[in-house]
Amino acid sequence: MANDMFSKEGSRPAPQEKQSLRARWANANPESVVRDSKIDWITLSLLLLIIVLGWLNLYSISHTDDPSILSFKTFHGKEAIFLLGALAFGTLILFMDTKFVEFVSYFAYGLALVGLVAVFLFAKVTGGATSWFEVGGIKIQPTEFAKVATIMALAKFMSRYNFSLKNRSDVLTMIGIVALPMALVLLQNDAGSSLVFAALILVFFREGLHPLIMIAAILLAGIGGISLLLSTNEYLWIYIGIVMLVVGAFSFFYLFRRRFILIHLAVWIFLMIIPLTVTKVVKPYQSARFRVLVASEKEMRSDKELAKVSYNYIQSLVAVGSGKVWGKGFGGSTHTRGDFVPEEQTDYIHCVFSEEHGFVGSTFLIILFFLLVARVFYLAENSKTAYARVFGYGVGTILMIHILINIGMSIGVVPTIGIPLPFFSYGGSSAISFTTMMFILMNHYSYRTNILT
Amino acid sequence: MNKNLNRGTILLASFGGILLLFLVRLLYLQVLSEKYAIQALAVDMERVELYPSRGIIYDRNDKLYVKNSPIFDLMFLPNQITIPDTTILERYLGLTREKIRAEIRRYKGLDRYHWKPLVTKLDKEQWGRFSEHMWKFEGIKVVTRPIREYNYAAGAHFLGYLAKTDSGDIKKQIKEEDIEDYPYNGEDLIGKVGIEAFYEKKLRGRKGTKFILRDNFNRPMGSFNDGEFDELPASGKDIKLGVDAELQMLGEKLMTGKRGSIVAIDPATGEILAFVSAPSYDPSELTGSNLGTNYSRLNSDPELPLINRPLTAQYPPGSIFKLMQALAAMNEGVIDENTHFGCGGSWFRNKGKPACHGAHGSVNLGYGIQQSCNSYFAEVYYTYLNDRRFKDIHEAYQSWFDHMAVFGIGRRLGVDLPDEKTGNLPTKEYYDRQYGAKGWGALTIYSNSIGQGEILLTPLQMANCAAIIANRGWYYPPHFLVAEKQGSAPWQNAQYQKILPEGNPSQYAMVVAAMEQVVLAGTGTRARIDSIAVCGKTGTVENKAGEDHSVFLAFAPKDNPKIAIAAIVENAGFGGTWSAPICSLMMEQYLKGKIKDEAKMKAIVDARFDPVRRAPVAITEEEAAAAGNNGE
Repeated sequence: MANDMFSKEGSRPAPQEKQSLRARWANANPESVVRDSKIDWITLSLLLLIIVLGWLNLYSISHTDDPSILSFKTFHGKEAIFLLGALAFGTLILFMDTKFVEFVSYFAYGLALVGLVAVFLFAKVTGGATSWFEVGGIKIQPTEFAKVATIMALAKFMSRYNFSLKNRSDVLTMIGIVALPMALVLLQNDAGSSLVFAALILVFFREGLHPLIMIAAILLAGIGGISLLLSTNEYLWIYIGIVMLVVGAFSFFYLFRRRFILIHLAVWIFLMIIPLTVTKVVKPYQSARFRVLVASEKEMRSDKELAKVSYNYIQSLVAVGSGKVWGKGFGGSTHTRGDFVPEEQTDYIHCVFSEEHGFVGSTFLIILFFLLVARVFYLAENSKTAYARVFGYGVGTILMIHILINIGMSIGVVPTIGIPLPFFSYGGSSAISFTTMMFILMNHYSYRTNILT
Repeated sequence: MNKNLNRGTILLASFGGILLLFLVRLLYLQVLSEKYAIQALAVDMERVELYPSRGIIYDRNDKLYVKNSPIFDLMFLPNQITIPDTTILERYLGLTREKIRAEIRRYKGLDRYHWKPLVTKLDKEQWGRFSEHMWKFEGIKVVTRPIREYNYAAGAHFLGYLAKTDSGDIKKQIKEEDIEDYPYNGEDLIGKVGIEAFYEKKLRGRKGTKFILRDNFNRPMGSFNDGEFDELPASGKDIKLGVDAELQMLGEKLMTGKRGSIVAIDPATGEILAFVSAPSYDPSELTGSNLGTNYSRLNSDPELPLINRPLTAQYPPGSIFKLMQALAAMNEGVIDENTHFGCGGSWFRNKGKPACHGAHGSVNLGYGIQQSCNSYFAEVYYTYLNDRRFKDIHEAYQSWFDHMAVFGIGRRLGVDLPDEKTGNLPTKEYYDRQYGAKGWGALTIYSNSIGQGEILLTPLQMANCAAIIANRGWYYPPHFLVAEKQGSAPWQNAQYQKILPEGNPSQYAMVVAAMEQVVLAGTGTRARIDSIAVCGKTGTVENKAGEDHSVFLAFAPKDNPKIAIAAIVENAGFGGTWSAPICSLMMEQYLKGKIKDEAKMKAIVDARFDPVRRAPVAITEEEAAAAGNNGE
């Protein structure tokens, strides 16, 4: 079994040649073993390491003197209970029938949509965003569960027999599966989470989406971002004009070879719509989150909106930067703990880690996260079923986007977008959601040898 | 599907690429840039200064003279204060409703999270009454600060006072690189004058430091690094002064309503026993809440109570100077105890100047001192300056000048107080400038012989002359500090350099015998004390602006003297009338511990002298410097 972990599909020895102890035992007692289950210990240990680090990180900023680790009174205690629950649930998933997990995909998706709608009906409005409701004293964030449910449904749909990206109704359904929860999340004023759904375009890309569409998407996102950065700049429209000329010329002479005038017009209009939307529809406090990334200290003081946003921005940089090479040590995050950094348990949790463990620790954490995502992609790529592959890329994409946005925000290169850092940010819903998706993936991988190819 | 497989790699590579950029950014934030670490320290940490208690001061008999007592500042947090009943504040602290409201509204923004003063410098009594009601308020606390408390309402001039440091003090400290132990901030108290200033470094101790982590709302979160960098304060050194507090009290009482000085010295050690400057004030006036108003009142008082006369007022010494004349002339061999000169009521050589108070006939040295004969000493001076052994007047004057300098005249004695004045002993160059190199002689400067003219002494120098004569020719520099100690450690005595003998003990014996006669049968009979042999010399200082100053110089007992004293009472006339009894009472108190003649004391305390008002400094410092005084 240990040999199997590192071996590629092709080079794997035939079961008959060299049998593990367990396999030999299974052969001798055929009625006792239903399947040959292979747990992916690499992924599991990476995951457990990250979970333990994440919890310790939360524990280090706990202000309380309460010595109990499992307790509903402290947030680290609550998180421990959630994580243990999530791990128990994950273990359950690990030994479930893979087919059953696939089977419940649409139900889970349906349930998640109901949850998202229920938020509108029952949620308490806090801080402008209505993204959770309370059941029996526990806050539930349906958005987090919708993420895992959406990739389940997506995997289920895209692994359908005869599914093709060339089939228009298939593509529309595929987009719809993502767009529906994304729209609901957006209606909850949770732009950050809707970005996570939007990122699932990377899954489509892996499944054969035309690269030009990817490029166009990235370009649009880029233009949108730049428009936001410059939304108060008096030369904004001159820049946009230059971009339009360049893009227009590119599409006119290269892409469509001086044909399809209507397409050029459409492209131009589209290009116009984005900055218009960005500058007119996006609220000043939202665009300020972008502008603060490039603002000078003087602008931060003089601009009212920037002044509000720049506090978080600067304090998180100070927290991270004050960690220096080796950090201030476990529990030593004086700046973050001093409430200078807001939301230090959730959105700015990375500040705590960086402040306490310095550049060395941050590098270690980033490598760890990269290894996790790489392993997830590896599992996806080496799965036997389309479901597992699509689901795996979904998991990888969601992890990636969370990691990039959350860490990027704390080091001041990504605008303030409040989404959790996987396994680090405090929150039961996200802890359960991320753990669940990892275990579903491992479930598929562990049973892949049972599937005939 | 193979093509799509590469796409997974592309995704992962892009992810890895962005993470690499993140690492570069982290490298900049955490390693390359110091800015953020500095900024974090600046906001997270509060450096709290822990104040040491200032050293306390004892008198020579180990009586507590100056100690510390607390005053109270009432502080409040503008964002938390709740006042259920403003009448309490009004009744106990005199704060009106409007004033409280104005105070609370004064602070805006982040200031509202910091402790601010509501009422400062409450005394024990005010605080005691208010503290019973403290629990009714939220967001207020009290901060205790020590101020000086004086067990004896005397000695303000040598003790000095404490006041807030000003920018000059702070600059001076930085310049002297003295910021290690006790870096001053604008709120710190510093000794401004007197002992408090001179021994500031001993008395202040060392400040402690505590680093406290603060959260965003300025709430303390605990100590930094478990107090690894904290330092406890070290209290200042206690000091023992040579001053006798009872004697000091008596001196100030005797000088009530007068202007002048009394300085008493223990001749065996140089310790200053009393240091009276009149008019004086209660040292506690310049402490706590009253410092500001009292200081400006004292500063504008026409009687100039803030002037430290024993140290900075410079008077012509008058006839007490004849003692030094006699000793210098004998030492130089110009005269001996049997040298006789005639007195016909005035000096015969110089058209009857100086005049003498009576025709003394044929006068020897002893009688000349006893009767304070001007003619005799003018002739001694004349003989000295015209002695054949000297080439010219310059050499003769220089010889005389050197003898005078040995008595500490014209230079600082090095007392442990700031701003000591030198007095004035003119140099021969000064006279050259005044009269031309050949234009002067004994007849020009004869008034030096009787302690008038350009010669100026501070009362401290007068007392020091008394000590030198009492010791028959040597002295310790007069000083206050006797010993110091740190906490409960034993006293460590301060060491002083003995100034070696000048002249011949037999010559001193001659002068001392004459001084005894002054008290027994001469000009200073009012200085007599029962059963104690007192030696003294009167002086009457001519004073162009008004009545003469009364001077007396004395020591007692004659053998093995315990106290040497000089007193000057401005505008009190003849030296034997007022200064002599003042000195005798002081010596009686010191030697016997009590005063027998209460009526005599009452007469002195009640005496007032017409204030012919003028600054007590006869000439200004600049003039003294111009006079070529080389007395550093």
